Amino acid sequence: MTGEFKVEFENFWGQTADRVRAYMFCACSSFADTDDLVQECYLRALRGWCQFNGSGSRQAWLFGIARRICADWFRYKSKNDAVADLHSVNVISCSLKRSDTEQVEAVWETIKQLDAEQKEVIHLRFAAGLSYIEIAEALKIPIGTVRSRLHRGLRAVREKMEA
Amino acid sequence: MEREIIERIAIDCAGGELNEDIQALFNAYLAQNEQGGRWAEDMLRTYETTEAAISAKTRAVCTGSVTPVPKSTLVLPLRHQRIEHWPARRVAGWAAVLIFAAFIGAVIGRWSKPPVLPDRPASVVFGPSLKPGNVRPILTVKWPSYQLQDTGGSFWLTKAMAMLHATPDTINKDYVKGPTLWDEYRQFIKEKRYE
Repeated sequence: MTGEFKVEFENFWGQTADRVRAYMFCACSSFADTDDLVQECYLRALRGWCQFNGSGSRQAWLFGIARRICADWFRYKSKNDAVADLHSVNVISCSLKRSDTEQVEAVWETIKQLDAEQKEVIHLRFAAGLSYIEIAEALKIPIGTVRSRLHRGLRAVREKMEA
Repeated sequence: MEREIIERIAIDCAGGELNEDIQALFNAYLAQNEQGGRWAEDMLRTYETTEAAISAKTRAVCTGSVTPVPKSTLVLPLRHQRIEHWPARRVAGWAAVLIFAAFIGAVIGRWSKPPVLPDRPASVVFGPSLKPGNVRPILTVKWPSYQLQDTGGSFWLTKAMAMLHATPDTINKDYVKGPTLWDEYRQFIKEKRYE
């Protein structure tokens, strides 16, 4: 590993690892699988580091990889009939107040019931912290579509909260 | 404006996707339009709640639990790899030279002239004694009936054939010599034991 590349990759890791983990966790709801998926994501990014053509942001490119890994994971899980690790989800909420916890759970469950496309945009927006342009690059869709999906997803959450 | 449009602009505004001029214009509109203000406020609250919920859910996976992948497990792109162990590189170089030499040898051997084999009789009879009259043979070796031209021109098969032809020379010598004194003594001991 050359020194320059090593520093570059480690900086990139430091800047993005938390958000990749958050995105992966939102997608799979399992601590154990999150670790595996994050590791796989960075290994693929490392192997394909030179293939990034420089158009768009490196983050969007990384989350494009993360998204494909999640899709692979879902395919694998659906074949093996695995259930998401819901215990790990509950552990997180224990540090919150009860009313907050209920609200968090309600919103979380509502997001989980959204369409896959809307859910994906919401995860990339709130868990990964990507901008509209980066989400559009990662998903390879127009920005207008990103806006529409985000709006429809949030509207569904609002309607659920009002109900 | 319709509710959907106000909500979309409110989302963009909350996400920081609008420039300052448009944001100011939108705020001015909401200040004049009470209903639109309520719709925008609802969507802003939803936005913040969703953000908070996802943040709360993902906080545990993000705080302090990120550990870099051990460098030894990383597989780098080829142009970033550097062979630091020179002995290993040297061994690889010698292995390449040997493989190349073996290849050249095989090519030369393949195109070289097949060996000329000596003429042999169809079979050879071995007996315990060289005296005339004691004619009972103990071993008859028949040479392989196939000849060099039957091998289809394969170099290595021809070589193998040549070895087959050469082997009976040794057998011949051994059998012509007959049993040694030690062999006879061992045979005697065996027979005694079974008696």
